[in-house]
Amino acid sequence: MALVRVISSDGAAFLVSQRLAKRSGKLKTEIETFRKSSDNSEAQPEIRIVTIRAEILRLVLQWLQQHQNDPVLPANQNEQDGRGDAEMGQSQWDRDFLAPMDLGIVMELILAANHLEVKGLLDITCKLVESKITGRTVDEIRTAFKLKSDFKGNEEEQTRLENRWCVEN
Amino acid sequence: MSGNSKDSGNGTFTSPNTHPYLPPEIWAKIFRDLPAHDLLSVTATCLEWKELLSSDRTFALLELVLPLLNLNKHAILTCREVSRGAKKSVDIVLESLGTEEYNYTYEHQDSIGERNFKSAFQQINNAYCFSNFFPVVRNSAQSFMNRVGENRNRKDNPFLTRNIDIPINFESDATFTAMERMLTLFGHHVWDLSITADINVINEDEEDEDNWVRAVISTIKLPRLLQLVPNLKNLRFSSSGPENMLLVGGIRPNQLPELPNLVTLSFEDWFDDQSLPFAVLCRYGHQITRWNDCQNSSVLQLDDLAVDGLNNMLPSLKKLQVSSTLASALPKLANVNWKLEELTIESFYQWTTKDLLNIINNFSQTLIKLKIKATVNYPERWDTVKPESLFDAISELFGSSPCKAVPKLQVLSLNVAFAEIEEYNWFWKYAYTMFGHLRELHFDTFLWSDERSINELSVEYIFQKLPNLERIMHWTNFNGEKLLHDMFARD
Repeated sequence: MALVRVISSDGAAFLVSQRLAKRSGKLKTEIETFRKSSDNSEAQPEIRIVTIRAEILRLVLQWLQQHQNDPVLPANQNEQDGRGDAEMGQSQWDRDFLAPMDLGIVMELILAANHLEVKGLLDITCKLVESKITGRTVDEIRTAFKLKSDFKGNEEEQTRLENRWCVEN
Repeated sequence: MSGNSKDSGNGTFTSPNTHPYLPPEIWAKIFRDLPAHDLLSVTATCLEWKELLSSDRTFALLELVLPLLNLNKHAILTCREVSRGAKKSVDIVLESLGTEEYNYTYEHQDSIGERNFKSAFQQINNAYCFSNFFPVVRNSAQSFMNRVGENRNRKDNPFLTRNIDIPINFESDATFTAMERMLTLFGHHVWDLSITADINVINEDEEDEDNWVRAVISTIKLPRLLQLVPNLKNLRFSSSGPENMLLVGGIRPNQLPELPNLVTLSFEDWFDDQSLPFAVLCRYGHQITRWNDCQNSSVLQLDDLAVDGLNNMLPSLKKLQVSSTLASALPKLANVNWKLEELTIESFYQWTTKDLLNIINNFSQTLIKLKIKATVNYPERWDTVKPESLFDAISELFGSSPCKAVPKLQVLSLNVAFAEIEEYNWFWKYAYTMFGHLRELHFDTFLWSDERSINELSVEYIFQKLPNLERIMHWTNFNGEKLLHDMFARD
C-alpha cells in the first residue's frame, strides 16, 4: 500500500495511505506534484502542512478515515439550490465526533478543512458554528463561546448604535 | 515545559519559563493585538499559551473563519456586541471586504456560504450610501450623525466597511454642510469612496432626444470633499441617470489634495465627460496601480494623450480595465510601456485580430490574468478570407512567429464565441506558444440568456493544446446573474 507522510506545523508526522490522503483535494495535488518532480516512482512523499498543528491534523485524518468510503462530493455540490449537503451528510458518528469539542477547536477544524479541501468536514463544522451564532442573543453567544463582555465605558452602547444604523438603513 | 503559576483573576493560568519571566496577564495583553494568523502560531508553540488564549483565541479565529460561514446581516452584527475581540475580528473582515479591489476572481471559488456572507456584507455596506438617485431612500449625513453620535472617540470607526458613497452635487447648502461635518468628524476612517453625480433630469417626452435637458453638474465641492478623506485607497466616480451631462466649474489637477494611499481609480460608470477623469488622472496617475477607464468616454481615446503621455501619466499601472474605446486608441495600448499584470478588454466594436495580438504581445512578459469580453473581427482586407486560411494570413502579416509567449499567464477569460474552434482556429493554433502555462480558462457570455453550449470536441482539443490547463469553466448570464453552466476538468 502506497503511503504518504503528512507533517503538522509542530512537527508531528502521520503516516497514512495515499488513497486516504487523496480524499483531501490539497493533499491529492501535493502528492501528484511530488510524483511529477521525483525521479523515483517508489519514493514516499512527505508533505508539510505549516498552518495546521498536530491536534487538529489528527482530527481531520480521523474524520477522513471514518468517511473513506463516502462518495467524494464535488466542491460545487448543491451550490445551485443553496442548501449545501451538511444535513444529508451528517451522521450520528459526526455528531458524536463534534460533540465534545470546544468551539475554538471546531473553528480551527474549519480552517484546516478549508485549507486541505475536505468539503464534507468543512460543511459540518461550519454548520455547527453557524448554529451557535445565527438567531442567538449576545448573551447566548457569550455563553456558547465561554466569553465575558470586556467592553469599557460607552463602547458597548456605541457598538449598538453603529449596528442599529446598519439594520435600519 | 514547566511553568510558574500565577492567578490572573479569571482562573489559574501559567506562563512558560522565559527570560525575563512575564506574568500571564502581560502575555495576554501582548497577544491581544496580534493578527489572527500569528495567534494561531503562538498557540501551537506551547501549552501554557494555548490555555491562556483559549477564549481570546476563539474570537480571534473568527476573523479567519467568518468569511467561510453562512451568516446573515443580523448574526454578523450581533457578533460585534459580544466582546472587544469579537468586534475587532468582525470589523477587520468587513473593512477588508469593503476595500477589496475590483475582484477578478470568479464566483466558483466561493461556496454558497461565502456568497451569502458577501451579500450580507453588501446589505451592511448599503447603510453608507449617502447618494441615492431617489431622495426618499437616501441616507442623510445629518441623521447618521444624530443616530451614531457626534461625540465619539476619533479612533473609533463608525463606517463598518470603510466604504462610503457620497454625491458630487448637493441639492442645498444644508446637505453639503452636513456632509462636510460628517467627513470632518469621521472622514479619516474612509478607505473606499464612491462619488456619484446624481443626474436627476425629468424629461417630459422621452421619445424626443433633442429635447433632453443636459444635466448641469458642479464639481466645485470636489476638492473640499477629497480633502476630508486623507486615508483613501480606492476612488470611484459614477454618474446615474440619463447619459447627458454638463460639467461646470471645471476641475484643475492642482486643486486636488494629496492622497498618499490612493492606488485605485475607477471611472467605469462615469458617462459622457472626459475632463474630470483626465484631471484626476493627471493629479494621482503617478501613484495609481489600478485604473478602470470610462465606459462611454474613454480617456485612452483622447487625441492629446499619446503613448508618451500615457507612459508618463501612469508609470506604476499594473491593472487595467478598458470598457470600450475607439479603434484609434488601440495602437496606444499596443505601444505603452506599462507592466500590466491584469487586463480586461470589454467591447471593441472595430478591432481585429491584428489589434488583439499586438496588445497581448505588448504585455506578454507581465500578464497574469487576461479577460477578453469582446469578439474579434477579421481585418477588412481579410473579409474574403475563409477562416481556415486566416492562420496563413496572420503569419503573412506578422512574419513567421506572430505571437510572443505570455509565460506568466494563469487565468484567461474569453468571450464564449472563442469556443467555436473552427471560427477561432487562428487563435487556438497559437494557444500553446502563447499560453503554455495557463491553468484556468473561462468562457463567458455577456448577452442575456445566451444558451450557447461548448461541445466536447472543443474541450478535448483545448486540453490537448494546453498541457498545463486544469479546468475550463463555462459561465452563462441568466437575468443578469452569472451562473456556472459547465465545468470541465482534465481527467
